[in-house]
Amino acid sequence: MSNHDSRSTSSTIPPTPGTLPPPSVAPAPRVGMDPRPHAPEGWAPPVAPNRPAEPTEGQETVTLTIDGKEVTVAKGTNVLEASGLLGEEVCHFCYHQGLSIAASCRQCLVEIEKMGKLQPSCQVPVAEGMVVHTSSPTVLKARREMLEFTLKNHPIDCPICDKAGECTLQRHYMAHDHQLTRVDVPKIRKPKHKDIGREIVLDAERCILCSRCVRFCEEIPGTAELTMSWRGDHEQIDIADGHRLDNAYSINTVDICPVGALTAKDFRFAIRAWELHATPTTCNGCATGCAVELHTKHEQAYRVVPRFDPAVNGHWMCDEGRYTYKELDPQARVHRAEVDGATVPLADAIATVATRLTKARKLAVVFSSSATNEANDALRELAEVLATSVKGREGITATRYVLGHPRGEGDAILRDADKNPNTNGAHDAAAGSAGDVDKHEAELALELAGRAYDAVLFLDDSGELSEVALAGLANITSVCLASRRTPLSSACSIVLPAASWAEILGTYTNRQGLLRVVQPAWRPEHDRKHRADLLRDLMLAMGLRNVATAKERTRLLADEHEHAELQALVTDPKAMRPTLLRWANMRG
Amino acid sequence: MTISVKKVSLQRTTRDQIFLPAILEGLLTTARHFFKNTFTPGHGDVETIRYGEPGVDVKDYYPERFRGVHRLMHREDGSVRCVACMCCSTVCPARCIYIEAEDRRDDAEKAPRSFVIDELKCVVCGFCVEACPCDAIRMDTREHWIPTETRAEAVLGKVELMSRGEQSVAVQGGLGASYREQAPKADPRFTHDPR
Amino acid sequence: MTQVTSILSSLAESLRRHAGVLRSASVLTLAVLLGVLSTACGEPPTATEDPVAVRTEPGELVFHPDTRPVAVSLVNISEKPVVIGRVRVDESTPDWVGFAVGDDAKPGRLAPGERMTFHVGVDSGYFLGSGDVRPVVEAEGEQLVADDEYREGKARLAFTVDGQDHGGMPIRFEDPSWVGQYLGPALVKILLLVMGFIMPLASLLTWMERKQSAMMQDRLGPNMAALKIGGANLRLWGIPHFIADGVKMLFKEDFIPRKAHRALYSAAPLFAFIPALVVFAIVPFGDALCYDRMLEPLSAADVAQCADGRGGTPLQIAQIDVGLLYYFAVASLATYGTALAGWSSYNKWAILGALRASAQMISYEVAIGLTIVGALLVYGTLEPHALVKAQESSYWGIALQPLAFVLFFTAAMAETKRAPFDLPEGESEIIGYFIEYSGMRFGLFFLGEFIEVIFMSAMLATLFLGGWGLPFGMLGPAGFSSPLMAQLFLFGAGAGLTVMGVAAWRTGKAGELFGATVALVGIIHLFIGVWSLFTGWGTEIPHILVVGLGMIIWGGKVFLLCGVQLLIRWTLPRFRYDQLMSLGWKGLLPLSIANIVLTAILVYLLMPGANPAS
Ligand code: SF4
Ligand code: SF4
Ligand code: SF4
Ligand code: SF4
Ligand code: FES
Repeated sequence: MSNHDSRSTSSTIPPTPGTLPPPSVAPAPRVGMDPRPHAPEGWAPPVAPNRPAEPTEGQETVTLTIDGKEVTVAKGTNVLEASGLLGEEVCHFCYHQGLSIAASCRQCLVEIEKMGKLQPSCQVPVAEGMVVHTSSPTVLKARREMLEFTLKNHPIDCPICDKAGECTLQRHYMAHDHQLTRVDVPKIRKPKHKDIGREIVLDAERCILCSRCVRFCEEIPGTAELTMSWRGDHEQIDIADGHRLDNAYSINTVDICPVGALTAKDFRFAIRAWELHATPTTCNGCATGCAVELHTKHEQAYRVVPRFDPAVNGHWMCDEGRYTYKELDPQARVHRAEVDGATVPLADAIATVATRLTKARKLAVVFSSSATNEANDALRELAEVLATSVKGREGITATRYVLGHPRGEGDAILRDADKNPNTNGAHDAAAGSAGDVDKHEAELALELAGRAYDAVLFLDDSGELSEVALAGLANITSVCLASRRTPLSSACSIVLPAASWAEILGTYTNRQGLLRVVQPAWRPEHDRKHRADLLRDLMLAMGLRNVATAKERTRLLADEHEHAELQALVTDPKAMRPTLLRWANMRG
Repeated sequence: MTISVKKVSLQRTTRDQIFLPAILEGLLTTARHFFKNTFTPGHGDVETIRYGEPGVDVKDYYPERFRGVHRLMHREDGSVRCVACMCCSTVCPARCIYIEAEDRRDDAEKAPRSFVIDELKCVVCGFCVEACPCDAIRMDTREHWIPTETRAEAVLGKVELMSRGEQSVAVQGGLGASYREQAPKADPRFTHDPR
Repeated sequence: MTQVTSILSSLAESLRRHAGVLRSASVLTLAVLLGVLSTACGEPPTATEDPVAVRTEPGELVFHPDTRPVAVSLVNISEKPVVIGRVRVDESTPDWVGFAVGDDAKPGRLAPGERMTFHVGVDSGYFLGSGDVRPVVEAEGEQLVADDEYREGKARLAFTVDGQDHGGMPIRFEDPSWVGQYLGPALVKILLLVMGFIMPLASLLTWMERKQSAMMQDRLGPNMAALKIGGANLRLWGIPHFIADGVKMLFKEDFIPRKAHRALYSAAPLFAFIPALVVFAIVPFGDALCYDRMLEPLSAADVAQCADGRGGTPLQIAQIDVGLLYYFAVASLATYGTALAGWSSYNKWAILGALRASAQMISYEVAIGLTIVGALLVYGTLEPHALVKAQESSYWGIALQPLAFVLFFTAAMAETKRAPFDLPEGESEIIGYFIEYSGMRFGLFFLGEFIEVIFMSAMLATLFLGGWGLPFGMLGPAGFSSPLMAQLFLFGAGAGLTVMGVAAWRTGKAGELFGATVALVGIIHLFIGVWSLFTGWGTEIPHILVVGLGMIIWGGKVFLLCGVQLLIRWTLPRFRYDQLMSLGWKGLLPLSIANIVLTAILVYLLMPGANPAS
């Protein structure tokens, strides 16, 4: 882009280098071990302690009147949740569905008949026959005055605040207060841009003391690094002496902070929230498969944030998973097919692969636990095709491996030690009718180093192989369906450009056996294609007919699992359009 | 909401329907202007400012709020006032402002690493000035954008934009020059900022 | 009142300021006047003496091989009655055998002012060469005449007036070559009309349109382009802008869209431009020019003979009997230009414009055709030259056919595709059929449009405003119809020009020279008017002057009508397309049919000869 400042040539802001998580622990030996990930014993998704208002079957219900409308909700829920059923929730700061109730912000005050004072709706459980007014003049006045109070010492840093555009305070101010400040005395100063942890910067002035972050650290990771210090005007959030906010889930505090008091170093100043497009997808970080949103602009990803999914991750995700978007680095993308180091048209490369594979004597196919079910399934089909004898060629049975990212750290909250999103799916496909994978990844390295094969096909570019093994790839027909340059894809003699997980519709099978969906945030550019489609092209080049496309495979999976959402996505591609965050108003 | 059609019946007199009288009236009006302007010394009612005639200086006629080439204002220390909030680039209808933010590593926290305006694309609407919360960008240079030989010359970077700028003392919230500065600095007792 | 005083005082002021110019101007005027007066006074009007008391009309009779018997008149121009003797072809002239005087030539008495008309015919077979070399008894020597060619011949019509032999009327027989009779004069006239009138006026209109609209809208308009001649920087109110425009168009990139149909795309501007020019062939821009006697006053019969091509040429490129049908035929060709331009550009806006243009032009051609039928009924001819002559002898078309005039004007503006009928162009929405054109190709469309404007003005002048004539037959082929008419014209034109000149002078700068010139011309007119008051001058004017005056009057009418069209174009807003169509089909068409019916009835009732029953 020549339009750019002469002193800087890149068109988009490279993400501020955040501190990556510490190097994962050395991989555990896998031979003889069950390779499939399992949720820990007794694990349940960290879902909301506050019951959603909508009654499920067999639940006791309560009927109350809110703003003149009758509503029936589950017993035990609170008035604020109940008001959500009638449209918008009562405006609030400190209440969060996934956390305990503090009722500290008093923004959610409502009028309840037969109660003398205004009541914080987040704290009042629903009762039969209750009559609630959420927008009576008294309530509106209280709301407005609470806001003014909250804003009294607020610095109004919006121009430099990363929360601007998705800030709850901004939104409530515009909706309920919208007046000029009446403060004519100096504001209280508190520390700004204070480095409180590996991932987090604190601006104490912007904090509205809702204590969501404190409660999160106590309740979810259970580490309780944060606390309130001082009192009155000077009360502020702080880390306990000698501690830093370094838990594995710390960036969630940034998401739940209703204002820009806590900001993530990785996202700090990278881009304004309202410029981002959000794509609902699944985290690639581990076998848990948290529901996430990928935030992108112009084919570049900027961050990953959790998406509420009661079946898997509740409201949260781990810090490690947020960095998976770095895999989408535009600099490292593979755009065109390469054969023996030369860039060639995709069709030519596919033809070359087809000839070389059919000529191979000893062949290995490597399934990938970071590739989608569709891709693994297509590879299974290819292996079966190669194994069948046809006229003029004898069938050749390929040795099947599963390769993926090395194991890492896991815990009992969300993280799994298997750092691949689709180990289950890959094993299912690789096992095929035979019942189990032929050999495991540790053996692959050895065999490659020993030149056991004259052709290898890698489904994905991830996986760590020894230098010797990689060197062994150079002189044989080694094909890699790569979306980025990794040591593995660079070592292979043939590289086919594959679309990354941000460019395709596909599925993973997570450790619970659930189908997890990834959706495209942008269209694959250049020659990049869904891996299943690349393999389909390959099979077509081998003379096959009627090979399923990636989409057809997804449709089959959706039907098999009766996954209504996925079925809808396959039939209506428009449903996959990313939404512009500018219209999303607020997060947190 | 439904869309409904409201029919307004025109009350046309015969005179209206013939058209000709009204047309003649119109012609008379324009003809009157024509003759008056043509044959009066100094061209009668013509108010046009004779830009380009010798002795006429364009700038004498610029209105007070004339919008010219952009400039970026300075802080007291001469650094750029802009905080890269992207309000201007967001509001710009011509999408001609490109900003990359960086951390200033001081109390002002954020600043543009690069700030580029493509004056060729700019439609001189002034929205960027309206949107700026920091009085960082202005168009009060009283300079027309002058055509250049290459497009690249019309793309102004931070340095060129700042070269037209000067110090601005405007304050957010409009409560005087330094209400934040008058405030007591954060009490060291309450802070333990490792930086 | 104050305005008058202010104008007067500013007039006085500028008079003072421009005393120098004024002085030289007045000296010049006086010199010219003295010159004119001395020549005029040197030859006082002579009392008519026998036998000149009888004038022959035409002065000289010219025959071509296919000429039918020609009506010839003898007019008594003296104050007493005369007796005409036998009219015969003088036997002493070499070719008297070839001509014959009709039976209707009877000797008799002619009261003062009375006229006697009879026919003279030719036996062209007599002049047909026999294949031999035949001696011609004339001083000129011998003529070689081939078998199938005519030779020239001369004779004289002789008669006695009060017993005295009158000088008579020379008769000439000739068979001019095709080149001499048709091609040569046509080429000269084409050159004269196109290069001398249409092109300059069209170019001027491109400037006028902008300047006039500017003045109407209280703007300045083009005023910057200048001619730098020597040290002088002539801005001339921006007139040089059209030169700048022309240069720009010639040098602009000639762009052809990638998917355009190249051949048709290139041909389309010609289709639009050429018909606009070709159609001018039928427009009469003057009566007729007699080659031989340009400096003498000529009678109507002389001019009519010249108009017939004998001894002169009509001032019209092609005198076609079905002139108006020719116009319809050629003008509708212009539709192809627009339609092809739109289609071949491969652009949706272009095709939209083209469709609009085609529909509009077809719709309004119907109305144009029908409005003219009215004029046809009244004047009984389709030949434009004859139409003008008919108007000269009766009343102008605008008086006899006022409705047709309005309808024709409206439809003509629609035909030129200009506001308020500029939907094919629709600058604000589709740009129209020439959206893809640039450079001179666009220039051709642009110029073609202005030429159409000029043509429509010329048609209006021809059909409804008496062509080259003045109202009430003020100006006849011989001169003004009476001294009073001459004085009226001279005083009117003189006063008008003087006022305009003074007004232009007062605008200052370049206006001074121009205004002074115009005012000077006006003052000369006034002086001649005064002179005419005393001498009765004006009924017999040298032929060339009459022709020139006619052409100037014609040009002035066309120019003014162009101005009116511009005025309308810049006053009225554009129609909506449905309004345009409903105006064409529901307004103009029924009205023009009504006009025909009404005219037919009136003609039937009022015009002698039209009603077989009477
Ligand atoms: S927290 Fe919200 S209101 Fe406060 S400075 Fe940031 S964006 Fe503005
Ligand atoms: S930092 Fe944010 S989440 Fe924590 S108390 Fe302050 S406002 Fe609430
Ligand atoms: S003046 Fe308008 S178009 Fe130009 S940079 Fe500012 S906002 Fe953009
Ligand atoms: S709006 Fe002002 S402060 Fe914000 S980026 Fe533009 S110039 Fe800088
Ligand atoms: S949300 Fe109820 S008190 Fe904060």
